[in-house]
Amino acid sequence: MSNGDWPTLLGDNRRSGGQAARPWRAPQKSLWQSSVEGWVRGAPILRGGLLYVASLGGCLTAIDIRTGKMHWQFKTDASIHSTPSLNRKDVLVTCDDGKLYAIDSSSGAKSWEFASGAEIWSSPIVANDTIFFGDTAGSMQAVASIGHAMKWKRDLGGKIYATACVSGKQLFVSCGDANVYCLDAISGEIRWKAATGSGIDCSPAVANGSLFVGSLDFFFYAIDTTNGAVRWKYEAELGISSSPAVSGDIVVFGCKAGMLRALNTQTGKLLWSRFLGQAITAPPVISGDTVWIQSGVTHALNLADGKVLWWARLGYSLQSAPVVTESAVYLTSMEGDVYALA
Amino acid sequence: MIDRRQFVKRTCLGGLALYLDHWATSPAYGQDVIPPAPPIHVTEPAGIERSPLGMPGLFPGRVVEIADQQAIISNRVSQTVVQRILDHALCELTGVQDVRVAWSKFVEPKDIVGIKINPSGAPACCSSPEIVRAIVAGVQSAGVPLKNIHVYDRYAYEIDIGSYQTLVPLGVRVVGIQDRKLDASGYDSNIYCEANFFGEWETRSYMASIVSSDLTKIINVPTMKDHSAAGVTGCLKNLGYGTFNNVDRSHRRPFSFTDPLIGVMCSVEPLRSKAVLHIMDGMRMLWHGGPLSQNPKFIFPAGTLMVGTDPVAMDTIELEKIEAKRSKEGAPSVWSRDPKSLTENGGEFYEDATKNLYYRQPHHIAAAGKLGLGVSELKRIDHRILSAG
Repeated sequence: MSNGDWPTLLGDNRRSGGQAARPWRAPQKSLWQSSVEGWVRGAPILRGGLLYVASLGGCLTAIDIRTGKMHWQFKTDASIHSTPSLNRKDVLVTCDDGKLYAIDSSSGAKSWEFASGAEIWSSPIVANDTIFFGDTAGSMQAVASIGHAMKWKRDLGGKIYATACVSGKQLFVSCGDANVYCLDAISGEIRWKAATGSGIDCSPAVANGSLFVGSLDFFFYAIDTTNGAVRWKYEAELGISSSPAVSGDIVVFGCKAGMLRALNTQTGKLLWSRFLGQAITAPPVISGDTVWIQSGVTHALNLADGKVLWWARLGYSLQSAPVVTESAVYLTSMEGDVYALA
Repeated sequence: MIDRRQFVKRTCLGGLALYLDHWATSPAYGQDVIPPAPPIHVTEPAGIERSPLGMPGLFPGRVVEIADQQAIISNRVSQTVVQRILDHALCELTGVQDVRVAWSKFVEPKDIVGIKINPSGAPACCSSPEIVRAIVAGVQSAGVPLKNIHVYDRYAYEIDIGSYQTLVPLGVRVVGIQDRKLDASGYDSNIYCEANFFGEWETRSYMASIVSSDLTKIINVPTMKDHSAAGVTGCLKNLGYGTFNNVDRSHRRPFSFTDPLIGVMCSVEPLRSKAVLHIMDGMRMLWHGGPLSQNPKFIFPAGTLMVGTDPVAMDTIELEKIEAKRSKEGAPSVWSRDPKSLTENGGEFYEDATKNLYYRQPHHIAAAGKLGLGVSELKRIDHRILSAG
């Protein structure tokens, strides 16, 4: 895998969005507040001083993090539900118009587009010069990042709303038909599938030979990546849509009953749990020793014991996650507000 | 084209007239402190011939109820059991043996069918995706292609919390009419209800375009819930307040004009003619804290379904059930007018079943009956309780 790869939702297993770990420090003030056109469902991403925010208003907006001012805006004809990804100099974004767009990250000009045919809510991911995404018609697709030709397309048994995850030559896909699929990333062939009790709309994470994913059947699973066997599973109170974040031997995820949990990746043993008051559907982000999560209120918790370190009634969101950097924390709210906290 | 349609205005003096009526019929209203509702002006398409399938539909006054203890176990709804009891109830409602024939009484292959879910209250208490899937299978069995079946509600973000997009079959479209609270783009500017309840700046509520233009039939899937303003939320509330925008202006603490606005909205064409079947989800009954409570202590796994074409009759039965459960749990009646039960504290309301935010208005059901939408007198309701067998 090359340095430019972006193999899972928010870039890596920690859902860090490509950012380095930040030592714990509570935000003290707002640097700026801005807004984008339309509501925001996905998470922002950051690179090179620009924060990229996609919105249901069909806009991908680049915001200058020094000023909070819009640097450029790219407008599509339909809503964007997904979180953008990065590929070389481009920002990749999928859209309800069935297209994958590659937008020049510095100018906002369209580099190229690829028409898939069906609505796309999952984020594109990149590995080995290939871009992968699933669509709501149940197809997983692989497109060459250079030349932009389709490499393969694989129809699965249900709708795909979650972002896939690549590890080596394996591509892992959560599906509405209750299965997690392992596809050959090169050919698109199905290597194995593992059944859960209900549809799956959270993105998996892979670490140490295990695939971690929650299902709407209320269970959180650790699955052997070699054969799809369930290593352990943990029962929550309600369905799980929150994509897990993994750091070391800790995996953190939320459930719709409002509980955020940390489990040991090897055993599935509960390390801590914390009730956050509202349904959790967004992914947590782990930065250093801190877990950040948006669920009505934005919380920062100590990774080791789940103790709440900081919270703010900012950034109500279903699927967004903060961008945590050394110098600031960037948040988007469902209503389209964007905050920079320092 | 929509702009070539003709529209007419009518005024529901029902606000006052219906109040006068229920003052006579309900002792609780003898001490009513609620001001009378203002007139509600309705603008709707002219010349629509009311469909015989429209409310109260093919079977006025008939309610089929079925419960199965196996339908919900450990807070999970069984797809198999739900499919079986829905088929059973639908055959009983229609008087036929073949469930495909039963579905064909309501939908035909050329229809564009909307399944109106109730995702408010998601994730703890909302229309069960398992029931939605069972309905999709039934509609499909009547020859309607999956691409012509739409699952919809007003707020996209509530649908999102319920994960309906993921859980419905491939091909079925899921539609959130609006992303934002103030987004009016999904509404038909020609069809609306107009009234000034509290001096609000926007006095109109517009009908969703998907209802006025896109769909030809609607299957309504309310959940069995208490409602802090309306008394209960059932078929009528899910349909009326889930079709028109700008509806929460009808209540301002402690008063609510859900009575008569809910019924008036349900009477507006073409909504009235298109809503052909109501399937009430009582897998989880929320007996206090509705419509949004997530508090498990108020959610009872009743494992019940009710089926009918008459929303007034169904809501009347639902009201009886909610009242019975509240009584059993020691909570005051939804008809209570005791000002001591009112609180300004939402947190208290969500924890304490003796507290409420409004004077509830369960009489909205009978008021809808007066508008011709169905039967509200219990003794005239053909309530059939089936054994799950």
